[in-house]
Amino acid sequence: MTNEFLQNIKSLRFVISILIIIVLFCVSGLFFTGHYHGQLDDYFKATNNNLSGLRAQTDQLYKLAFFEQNVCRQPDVLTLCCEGYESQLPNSFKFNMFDITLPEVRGQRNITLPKSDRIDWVFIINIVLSFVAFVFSYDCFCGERETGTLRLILSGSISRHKILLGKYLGIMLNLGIPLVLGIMINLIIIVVAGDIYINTLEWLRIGGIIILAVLYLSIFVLLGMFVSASTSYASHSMIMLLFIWVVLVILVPGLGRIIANIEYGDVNATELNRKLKETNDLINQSALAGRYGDNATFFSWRLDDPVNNPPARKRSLAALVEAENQVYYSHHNNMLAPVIAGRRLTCISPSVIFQRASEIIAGTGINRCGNLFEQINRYREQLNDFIGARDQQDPNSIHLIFKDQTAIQDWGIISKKPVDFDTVPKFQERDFALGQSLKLAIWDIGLLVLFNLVFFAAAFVSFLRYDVR
Amino acid sequence: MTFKFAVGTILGIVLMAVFMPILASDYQQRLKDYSSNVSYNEGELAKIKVYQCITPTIYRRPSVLSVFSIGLEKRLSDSAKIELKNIPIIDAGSAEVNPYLSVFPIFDAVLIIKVVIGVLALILATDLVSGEKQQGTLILMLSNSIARHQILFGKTVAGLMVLTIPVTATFIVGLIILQVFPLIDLSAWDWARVGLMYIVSLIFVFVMFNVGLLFSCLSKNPAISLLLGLFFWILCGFVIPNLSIHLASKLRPQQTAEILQGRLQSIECEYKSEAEHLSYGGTFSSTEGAFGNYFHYICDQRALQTLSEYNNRIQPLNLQFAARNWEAKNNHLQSLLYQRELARNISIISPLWLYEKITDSLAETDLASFEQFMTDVGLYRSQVIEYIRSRTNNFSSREFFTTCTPADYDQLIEFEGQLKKKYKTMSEAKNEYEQWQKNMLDKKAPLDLRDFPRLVHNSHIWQTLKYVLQQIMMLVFFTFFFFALTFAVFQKYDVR
Repeated sequence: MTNEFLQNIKSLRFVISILIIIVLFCVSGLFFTGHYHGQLDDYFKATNNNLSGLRAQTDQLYKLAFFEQNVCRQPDVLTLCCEGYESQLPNSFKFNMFDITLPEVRGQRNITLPKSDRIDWVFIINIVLSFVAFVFSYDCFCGERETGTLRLILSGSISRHKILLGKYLGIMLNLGIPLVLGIMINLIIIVVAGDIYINTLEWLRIGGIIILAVLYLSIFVLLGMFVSASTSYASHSMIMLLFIWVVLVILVPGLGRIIANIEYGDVNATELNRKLKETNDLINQSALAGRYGDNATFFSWRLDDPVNNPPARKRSLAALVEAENQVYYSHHNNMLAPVIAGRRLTCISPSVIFQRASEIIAGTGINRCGNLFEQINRYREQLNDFIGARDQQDPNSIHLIFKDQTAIQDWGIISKKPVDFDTVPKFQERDFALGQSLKLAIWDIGLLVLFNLVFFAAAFVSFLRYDVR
Repeated sequence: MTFKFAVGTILGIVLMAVFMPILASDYQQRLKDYSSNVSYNEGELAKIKVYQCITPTIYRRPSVLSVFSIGLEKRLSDSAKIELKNIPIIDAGSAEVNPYLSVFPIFDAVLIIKVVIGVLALILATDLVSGEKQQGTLILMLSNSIARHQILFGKTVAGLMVLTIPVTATFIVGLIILQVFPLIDLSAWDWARVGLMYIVSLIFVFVMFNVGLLFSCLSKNPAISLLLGLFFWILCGFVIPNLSIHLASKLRPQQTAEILQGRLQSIECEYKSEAEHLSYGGTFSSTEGAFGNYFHYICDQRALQTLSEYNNRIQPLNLQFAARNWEAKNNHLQSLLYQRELARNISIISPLWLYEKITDSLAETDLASFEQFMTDVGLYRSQVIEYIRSRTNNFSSREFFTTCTPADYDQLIEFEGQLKKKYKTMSEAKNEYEQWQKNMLDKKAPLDLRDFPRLVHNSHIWQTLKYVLQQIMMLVFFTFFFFALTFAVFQKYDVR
């Protein structure tokens, strides 16, 4: 192992690799620092706007119910490890007590440019380091066979499995050096120069991502060793590995979009509007048919007018709001479904698994967006409960909260008393707990381990049968 | 016929054979959607009863060569609505409606060439000088009386000829599969563009070959040459294009969406304040017409009079504010384009990026074709508006907003009188009343739109070619540049 390690470390390929990787990590750190501060500024501006808007509504309870809040996704420090394409995912959520809409992408985005990947840790590990793993391992057996040193080693008393293990550990150590060095420099830039605070939990998550990276790179090393032990010439081994790399790292991840499109078709706005209209018509018809009580669709400004039936009107409008929310909700799920399916079907590539697992461990990316939408929905319910409870305390209200602005003025359906701003629930994004993240990532980790075991076994078997002559 | 050549070529062909049907069926689906949209448009146009309802949506035909190079095809909007209140401008497209899909990288047929055959070219070339040096054959060769440049030329020409095979084979397989799909039909111009794409692919592969050769001359070990070559490839393919975008967004920040929103809102306010002076009165009822627009089918004398005056003044106002809205949006767009230009200028140093852009232009999936589409639609909109204006006496004639004639209204009054005698309440008479309405609407024939202007798709062959040729020249320059470097380095190569 030491021998393998020392041999590699002196080689030119090691020097070039370490240089390139360190440069990339530096660039990544520098870009992240600038970007993160900008994002934080935007986020605080938007959040303060929202909160001051909310505060302005507290003079009358009903205003709070109708106020459209605009919540932004909080910038996450861990996007430095795994950005998870967050800059292109929806980050702005608009809702009031009654209804939700689809999240939108807001901020700096240029539609005329092709989409870009952030150069984060996962990008560097996924594309560059996986390739370096092949570079270190492609000639570990066939190269030595060609130079004849393998015969010499085997003629000694060391058993084959010890050589295999020694080589594996040596190469892993070789890879570990640029990885750890790069990450350290990156973190130094961020923490010291960028003045960004990372808390304990985040450090733990960063540790988790490093473990994932080791598992991922180990697959490539073992694969490299396997191919090296199955071919007689180093050049053949390199070429095979190169093409394997191209397919696994570049081509297969790209297939996800096509699979998603073919499986699910385009989820478009026309479809959403059609469904909304259908729901609207359906509820209106059943309201006319008297499903929610008599005169559910009538409205006259005087509450004691016999034509009015406030409970029925509430029931019909609540049903409409509920049904519309359901449409938005299921549309949002339909937007997420193809992505999840596309990723699931492309997970024959360790690259996709690694990306997905890191996103989960870092708590970024698509899972976070899906989860945030759920959180907003739960917060809305919380706000509902709060307003309901406050409304109960007001004897002047008729305690029928529904989405009808005119009914408030004329009927007094919701209390118009002021509320204390401090008691109003405010939205606070909660990350997945570490345990929860691990539970979600367990399949991916399992798959990575499985790949490791399979290729280890393959490398082991083919090396045991390797003809060193 | 070496091992690497076989693996590379077969991989390229197999990948093309596997992925082309998927890409083609995706295109076929888009084409079907396009056709159904177009026929919907035609169907609705035939139903037009008042000029106000003419708001067709123009769709951009998906480019058949997008299977080769998808470009911005799914990123930008491929449709534009013709209406008085709005001038079409480049906007985010349908794929952006589901932003979650952006977690996937782009995949098209050119990627196979860029990745598999590009890497093959590197592999083949990196071995040529340093490999022979390692085996010791280079020293033998040079000990003969052959000049160094002759050896280099020989190697280059042979390498390029060999590389033509996988590129050709991959293209042929892709095209054969494309022809199997019934809806896909390549025109002569499409074939010409495919031909150009093929030539550009060859040039690109030559660039990669020369880069490989350069690295081969720079090192004494073929593995190191290959390593350097591949780092170059990763740098050009991933790092430079991404970095250029980040740099551009730092150096030339775009106008924020909030500014645009604010501007649009203030224009909207101005519009409202001007429009509130205009009003109309009278009795009228509306119904849904073509393209989902509502129009009045019953108007009394006063409504006819006031609506005519109202439209005569509000529609020119709409046109005027549409232009102002467009101007604000265009300002925003220009800031995006300004940023894009910088990103382009930075990434032009990457041959991989350049190759991708050329194929996008050839496939007509680049920004320029979308801009052209929007310009065409903008011109078409003016024609349509001019048509409506000339037919409706500057939006004031009755045909612009209603199907109702004064005689119709008299009939209605008479009919209502009959109903009142027959029934006690209006709710009992509802069915009969609705039937009468329907009959009256059915009696109205659709407008005669035979001379309605049609969108003429101007072909921009020469523009595309001119634009593409500049970039091709750049790619050719790269070929010679790297070759010249190789030449210089090889002259000094130490063969011992």
